[in-house]
Amino acid sequence: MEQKKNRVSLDWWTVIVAFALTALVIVGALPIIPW
Amino acid sequence: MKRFFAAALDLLPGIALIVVLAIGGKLFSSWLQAIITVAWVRSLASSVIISIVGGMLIGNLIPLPRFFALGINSYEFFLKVGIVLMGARFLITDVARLGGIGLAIVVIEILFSIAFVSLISRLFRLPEKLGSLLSVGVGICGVSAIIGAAGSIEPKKEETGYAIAVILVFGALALVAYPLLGRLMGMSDKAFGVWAGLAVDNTAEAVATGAIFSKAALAYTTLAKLCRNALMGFVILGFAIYYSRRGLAREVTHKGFFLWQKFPKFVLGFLALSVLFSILFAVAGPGGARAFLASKTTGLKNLSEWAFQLTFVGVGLRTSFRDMARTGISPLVVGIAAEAAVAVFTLGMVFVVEGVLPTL
Repeated sequence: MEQKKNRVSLDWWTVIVAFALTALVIVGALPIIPW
Repeated sequence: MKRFFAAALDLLPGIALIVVLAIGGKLFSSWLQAIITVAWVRSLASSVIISIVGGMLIGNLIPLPRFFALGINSYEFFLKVGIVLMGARFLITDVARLGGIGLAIVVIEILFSIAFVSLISRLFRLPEKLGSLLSVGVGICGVSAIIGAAGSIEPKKEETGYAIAVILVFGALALVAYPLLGRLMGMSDKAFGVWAGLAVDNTAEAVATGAIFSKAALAYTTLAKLCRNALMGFVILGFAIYYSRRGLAREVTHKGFFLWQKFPKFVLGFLALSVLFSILFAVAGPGGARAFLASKTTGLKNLSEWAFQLTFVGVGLRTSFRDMARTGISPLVVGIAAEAAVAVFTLGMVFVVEGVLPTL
């Protein structure tokens, strides 16, 4: 039960990772990677 | 913590393979684009096509060890991260305008798909639940919708496998057929993008189909596809209630919670990032602050492109021709009829609404 409560779905992880990347780009900690 | 590291270790080989192939595919594509002089041949050497075809060749011709499988299947994660990051590129007002029209079209498209697929499934005497799964897959968003619906309408395991296989076969065909048809019909980026988002079932394949056509089309495809994804919960709830009333599946007790559970949360992430950047741009006004923000959105756009590049390699690696050949004839015939009908129906709708769709 405890584990179930702690489990964040994959979708939420994608949001967390995307927002973390956004924060890093905004503060300049992540250089602009060329495409 | 130990389990977290064990899980990460399981994912690592497959992800490393995807990353290496994605970078290799991009470099190879840039090289090809530089040396090819004929325009239409050059368009075939785009990084999207190189990544997907490269992934297909490696996945089907080289027997990859099993420890790659878990990481390869994680490409959906990169797809969703890429879509959330795309949110920074769109003003929320544009998203709302396109999304409003998009949702209206999508409701019609979903109703049409479900009615049509249910009808021809009956004609071909497919098991009823397989028919329902196929109609959810064709109407909404392919694999994740089928898995979501399978949990609620409780079909046989092989029916779920069948439905997924059919969706994947047509996803692979769509990658080739749609851009080709779009070019033959001389469609605009906007019209083609919305069409691909409405008609191609699986999110990864839809995004790839838009990207193969053009960068501009990709944006429309993603937004149209998100409208479909957002409605997934409602359709699954409908089917769950239908089957539970007839005593063929469990009863749904908390409908609101059910809808929230089935709602794709990455759509919320996409919207939140769009709201955030719309506010930042509005506050920044013209001048230096705007230029600073624009450089940041370029950075996020590039990250999102790389996330999609990883996805495309994953799509290629995952497409198994052997599995496709194993799919039964009846579901495939139903699939062909359904996909063709949805393609024509959505194409008609796109031409009707093209004039009122906002330009991104």
